[in-house]
Amino acid sequence: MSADRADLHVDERPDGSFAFFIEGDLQFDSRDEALYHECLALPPLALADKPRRLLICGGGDGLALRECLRFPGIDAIDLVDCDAGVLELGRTRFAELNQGAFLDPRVSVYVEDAWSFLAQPRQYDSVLCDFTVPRRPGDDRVFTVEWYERVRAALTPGGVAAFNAVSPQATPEAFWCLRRTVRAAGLSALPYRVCIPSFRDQGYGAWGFFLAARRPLRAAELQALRCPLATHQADLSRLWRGARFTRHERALEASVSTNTLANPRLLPLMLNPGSGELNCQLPIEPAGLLDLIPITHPYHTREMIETLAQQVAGAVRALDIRRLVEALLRRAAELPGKMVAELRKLRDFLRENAPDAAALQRWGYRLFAALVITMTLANAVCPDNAFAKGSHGLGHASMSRGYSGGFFGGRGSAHTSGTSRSGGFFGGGSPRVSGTAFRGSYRRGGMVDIYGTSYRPRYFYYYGGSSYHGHTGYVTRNTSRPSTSPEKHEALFVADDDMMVMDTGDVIITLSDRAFLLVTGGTVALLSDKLGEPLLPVYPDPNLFKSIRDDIDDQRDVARGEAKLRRDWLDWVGWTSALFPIVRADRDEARNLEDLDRRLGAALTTIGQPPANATPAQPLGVELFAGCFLQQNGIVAIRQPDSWLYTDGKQIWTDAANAQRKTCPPELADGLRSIMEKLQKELAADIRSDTSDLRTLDTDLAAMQRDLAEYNRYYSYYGAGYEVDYGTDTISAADAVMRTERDIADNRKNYNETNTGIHKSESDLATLNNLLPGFGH
Amino acid sequence: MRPPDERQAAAEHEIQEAERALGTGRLTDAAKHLRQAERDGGDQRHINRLDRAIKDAKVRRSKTQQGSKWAGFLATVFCYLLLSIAPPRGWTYPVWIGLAFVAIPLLGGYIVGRMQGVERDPSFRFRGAMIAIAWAMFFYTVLNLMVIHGRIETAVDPGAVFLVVLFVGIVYALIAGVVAGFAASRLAWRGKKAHQ
Repeated sequence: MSADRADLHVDERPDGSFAFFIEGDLQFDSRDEALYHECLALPPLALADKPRRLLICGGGDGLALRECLRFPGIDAIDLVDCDAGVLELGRTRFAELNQGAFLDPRVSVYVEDAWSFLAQPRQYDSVLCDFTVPRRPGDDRVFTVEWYERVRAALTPGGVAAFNAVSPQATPEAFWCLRRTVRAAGLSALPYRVCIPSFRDQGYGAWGFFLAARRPLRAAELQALRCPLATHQADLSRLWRGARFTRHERALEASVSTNTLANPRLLPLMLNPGSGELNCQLPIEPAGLLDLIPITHPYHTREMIETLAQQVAGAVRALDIRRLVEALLRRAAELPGKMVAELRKLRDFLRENAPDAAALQRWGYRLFAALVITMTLANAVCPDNAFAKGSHGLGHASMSRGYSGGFFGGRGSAHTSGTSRSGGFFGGGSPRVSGTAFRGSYRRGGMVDIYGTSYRPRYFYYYGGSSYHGHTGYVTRNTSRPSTSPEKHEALFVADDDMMVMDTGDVIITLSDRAFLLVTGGTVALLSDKLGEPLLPVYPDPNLFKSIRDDIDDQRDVARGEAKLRRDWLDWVGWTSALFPIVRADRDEARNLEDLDRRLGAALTTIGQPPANATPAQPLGVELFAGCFLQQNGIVAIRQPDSWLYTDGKQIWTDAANAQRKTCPPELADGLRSIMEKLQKELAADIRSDTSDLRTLDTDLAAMQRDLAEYNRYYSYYGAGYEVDYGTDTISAADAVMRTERDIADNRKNYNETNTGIHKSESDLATLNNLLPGFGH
Repeated sequence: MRPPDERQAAAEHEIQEAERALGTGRLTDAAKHLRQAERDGGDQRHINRLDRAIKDAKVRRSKTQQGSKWAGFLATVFCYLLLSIAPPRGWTYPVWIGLAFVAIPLLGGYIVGRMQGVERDPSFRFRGAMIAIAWAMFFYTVLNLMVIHGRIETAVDPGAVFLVVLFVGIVYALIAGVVAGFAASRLAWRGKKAHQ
């Protein structure tokens, strides 16, 4: 079972026992927690002078509280803990273990920071500090001299305090640092340790505590300790043995500093056990130096430090300093005189038989420093070049194009625009030219797109000019057509996933591998890849034209903007084109981008405008492309300039009265079939993708609802102004609740839209699956 | 040996010349006239006063000379910062070239030259101004090119771009430096000589 917060974990066992962890650190195990809490709580109460008022700092689990409540003569206990989650567990999950300690009327619970709590004058006969072990900077504030001074101020003259410490076995320097810190606060500190089996199993070693008081405390007092209570697990009569430390252990206290707010020493000592103070005399050998690099983050390990340092050391060792010096001296004529003299001295020094290790080390450090500075400067000038992450130009970090391959409008649909729809060709943002197509291959065979990517050449064969495609009767090929062969047209520019701009300015929208739409001169025609002549004229849907124009306009803007950037660069360096090929290529790129802008402008003129009275089609079924629908009866309806054409793949007829049915041209049937097959695949892929999106939205919703519950809890406990973490920000609880509720509403809206899209796709796919097998047969 | 009256008059004349030279910043001449006045038996009070004034002026000049390159550099950097408001095309090319390579380096060189003082050797003034203004132009060029090229995302060899930037920066710096050096050596104390 886990608590609501991911950092609080209660590990249940089949035998009914459990262990409680905070951020992976064991706080207690129900099997032996009494040993810990009896050793923490009972000795100070037994040594204090008639304790009546107690303070427990931390200990939100209520277990130390339980021990204190058992002690006779206690009138009032204040418990202050800033972690509401732990307190909640103390009241609920741990209630049985702490025997309902929080229900005792003598107990007052304060959900606030202990540091702030003791900022006000208070007096207690005993103070128990049961904090979690510090893991990051800032956590050790309640282990500083300043904190213990506050505790001292809160203690009555006969009062005794107890602090949980760290392990004198696993982190001895940190343990003795704590003792020194307690003593620096003006308290007498009596250390002792207890072996707790669950702590030992976790690798923590024996655990340490301190008794502290204003008056001197002696180990003999522990030996004479008489507790009026029976203990369940701890043997307090033997506690004094835990207070015996060897002279060597005690000597560590002299080698460490106190832990203060201005100079926090505890955490480094905990993370680097065995290192002692880190300002001791440096050894000469490099391996020893590595050991002195302190770990400053709980998730770093010694191995990580050593691996990093070895890489650097390897680079330095690979340098042959003698050869470097000799090479530099060969160029002595080009060097300043003083540098030459220094280099000669270095060469002579290196030639000596017994180089001094310390001197070599100094040179090594200087060289290392010079390398670091050089690499830093190089990275400032050419980011990522020095660190080989793949640069794309001066002053640029590595980048990715980052667009998800969408489908422009779906089969030349009039209802979406590739640029405005997220997931379309442009993904979510404005494209940038990052490829090198405009520097070399533009108009030299092959297509390019606005990203500067080259594609292999693509040719389409059709008759140019709009008048031929405007002929209304050519559907059966019984119409006059040019006597020449279809012309070969090369695609110049890839405007979208399925839209290309030809060298003549025509626009082609590929519907499948065998059929495409040709948009030119205000007309639209369906063509087959196998024939050079059109299969059908198609109604010039104004939405389709608008989509195409918007798309091309957007890409012209990009081309112009990119050309301008390059012109700005060439303003400075253009005159060096004779010297640097890269500048020549920049010039070509700028010219090509400007040429592309012109050609796209010409394409807008070439494709023309639909008739002024053109109207969008109303959907009649599954839309195969603009103005073409697969109806539920299996018949494909194609909207033509002046009528509707119907076909079942075997025959074609119009919507005129008494229209004769003719044989459907096989190219038309084949083309329509290929379009439907492609649509099938795309719909299936859309459904898979959208279903995955729904799962992600559900997961996000669950996380947001958990967050909302927690924010509401903070809101009710601490008020609207209480600051909480919101992502990487810190905002008030009220704002966090409002933002999370808004995020949940957005999530639901996206969910509904995606769900609706899935239903439509599934419906269309079902229709296609049913009708496609019978089409043309 | 001159008669006492003539010697007194000559000493007075030398003191006046020393004061005039001190006023125009020709400290070497002032010291020379003062020594002559002393030999001619001039009023020791005036001589001491002028001697102290000359020494103070030398100390001030030394400090000014030390700061002259920095002053020229900073003034030039400030001007180039203003020039960075618009790209070269924004200023039009002739205006930009005139400002970047002529007017601003002249200004910077003039400042360096004036602060170095008329008694400094012109070649020394040239070198000082050239170094200071060349660095300013170098930073102006390199930083602008880094920012401009940073906006271009085409995948190119960063080493080649680095060479272009370095080359252009050095060339522009040399041009600006030479212009500034000319201003410092020739224009800053135009018509005035170290020794008059």
